[in-house]
Amino acid sequence: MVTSVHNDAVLFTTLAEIDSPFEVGVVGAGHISTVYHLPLLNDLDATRIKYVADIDQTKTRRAARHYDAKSVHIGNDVSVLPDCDVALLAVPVGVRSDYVEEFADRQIPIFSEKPFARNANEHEYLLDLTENAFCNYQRTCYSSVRQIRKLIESEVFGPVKGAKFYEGGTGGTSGITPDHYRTDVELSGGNILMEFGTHLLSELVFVFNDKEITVEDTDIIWNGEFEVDVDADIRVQDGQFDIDINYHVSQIKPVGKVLRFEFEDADVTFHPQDAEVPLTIEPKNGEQGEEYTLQQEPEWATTHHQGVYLRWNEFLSYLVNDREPTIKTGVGISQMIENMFKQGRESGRITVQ
Amino acid sequence: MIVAVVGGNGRVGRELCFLLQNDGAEVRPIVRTQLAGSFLEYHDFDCTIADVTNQAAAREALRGVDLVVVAAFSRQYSQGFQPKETRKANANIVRNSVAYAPQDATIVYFSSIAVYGDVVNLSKWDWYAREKRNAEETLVDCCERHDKEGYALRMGPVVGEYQSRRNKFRDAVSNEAHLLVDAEKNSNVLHTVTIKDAVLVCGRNNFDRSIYTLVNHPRWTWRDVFEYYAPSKSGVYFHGDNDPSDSLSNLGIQSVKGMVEARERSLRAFSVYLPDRLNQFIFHKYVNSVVAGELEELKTNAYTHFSEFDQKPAPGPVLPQLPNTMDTLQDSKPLLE
Repeated sequence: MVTSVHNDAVLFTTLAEIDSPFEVGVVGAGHISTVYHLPLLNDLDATRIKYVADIDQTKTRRAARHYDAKSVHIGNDVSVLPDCDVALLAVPVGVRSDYVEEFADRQIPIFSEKPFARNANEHEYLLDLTENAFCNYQRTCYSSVRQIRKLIESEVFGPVKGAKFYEGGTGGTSGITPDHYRTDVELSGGNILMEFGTHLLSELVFVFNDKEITVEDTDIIWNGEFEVDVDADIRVQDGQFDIDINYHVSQIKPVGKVLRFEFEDADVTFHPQDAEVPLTIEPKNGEQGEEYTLQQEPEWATTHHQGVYLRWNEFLSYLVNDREPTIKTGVGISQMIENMFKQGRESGRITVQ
Repeated sequence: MIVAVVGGNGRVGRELCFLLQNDGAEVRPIVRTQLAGSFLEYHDFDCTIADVTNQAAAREALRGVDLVVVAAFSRQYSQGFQPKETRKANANIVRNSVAYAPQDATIVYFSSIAVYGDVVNLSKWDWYAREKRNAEETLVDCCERHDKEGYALRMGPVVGEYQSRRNKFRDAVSNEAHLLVDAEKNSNVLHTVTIKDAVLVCGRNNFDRSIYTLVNHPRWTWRDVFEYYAPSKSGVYFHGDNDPSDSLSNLGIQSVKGMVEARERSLRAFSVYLPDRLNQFIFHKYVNSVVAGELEELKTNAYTHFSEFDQKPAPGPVLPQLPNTMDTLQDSKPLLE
């Protein structure tokens, strides 16, 4: 069993430094808020849910009632949103900039769902308005992601030579109704790249911290305005460090869900999405089928909810202590996505009548 | 034959589309959104985009078909926690599929053996089982009202090329495997090729009953299931579920052991008042049960157990005239070349 050395400390103590809870305005009462953020914010001593706002009054009332918070119906005017200490934006990326502008104007820090913006231009514009913004790239708090970064930095298995970032399958999109925001590219900003491609890129940016990451080549298969298969070659460089990464997200090809890192002495794999799955190590010179499991680090997330919690923890620690994590809003991620869209060769097009 | 598959983008639905097409049927997958049709459209299927809970959309989408397969199922969390809306959606899918199918068309609804509840060792209070039961009742009622032919197939756990359960079973026996199930116990496993055969059988016949159990034909034992997936060189060992630790006397010993462990320190204080022979007897019994428990845990960890093993064989009647599942599998080509 390989023992990992960990330097990061989970910032639970930060919460003890706060005199009174942060009052959180929750904007967006959809699935993400109700299943992830609201229960978490309710549980944290450091936060209190001040209000829940949405364009759908029924959703707002239901959520607000349960958490004993104020219910706010957003019509066309975002200025109706009450003040708060921190704003959570869990609305489609296509409408997010209005809210960022509003809260930036009031100097209210923002915790946003991902991605932060539809493209790099919009991202830069919003960051000009406020620096106090975070994006919920919770996978960067997974134990597996933290561990792989340490393995890369420490070179326990030798230098890393290459990697594969794969997430996808043949499912298409199910469970969304015709009026869901994901069916409107103006609201969603895209399809698989926005939905889970950004998460995969956040893992890439996090593990190759401080290195230059360039999208070199991209092939995209389209379904109308929506990308359904994105196959990209990415280069990571820093001085003598120079490796190629294959990045592939799809909803039409059985690419699987795996992050695979090829080190000099071993291959290390794990699941990009499932925080419970530990790292698997296959020694290069081992017997066929020989593999080991790396014990997970208990202070990092091994579930999705824990990942969201730790991400909130990072955000609140930033507000209190100015402690900046590797990724705040992920401007590099928005740039990579924009490059993929711009340079993407159309390698196929589906036309649905 | 033109076959509409409502919910063709679902896990079973999309595999069925390929199987039906490979068998010569003209397949019309019906999906709710453009995105939902991506995979099938990529493989040259012509999807119809329609929300069948809407009457006008259902009427248009089902025009001219010979067979309507209702593979769609609305889940509880797709729009937040709204079980009433979900119940309504599932009922409307069935209702409109029956009402707007052409008069001569056959409707096939994918139900589940979960409906049998404790007869198959599942809970009859399970939300999924209750939704499926409600949908079956809606189907029967609507078919009677519209004088149409409809069948509800109570399907066992599905395996097939795109089913995650297949990977689960296959991975379990990729090396030497110790499976915690009786080899000769009948399973309820159902391969997608048999679902395809069942759909076609329903389309070609006029059966007296409207509800049937659907599992592999003839029913596969667990030995059959895993030997199908096991490479010839690996060993697959079955450990029957006649676990002596479940016997009444053992359960009695376990509960006494639990009580003793909880109060060990205080009880030990009283041992000074007991005869030595009795103390020795208690000591040896206790040590033996501790060791047996730890060894049992080690054995259990080394075994593979799936929840499907706990199911009892689903009762009939099974759908008649089904081809042999193994024969169909051997004649089938891969879904994607």
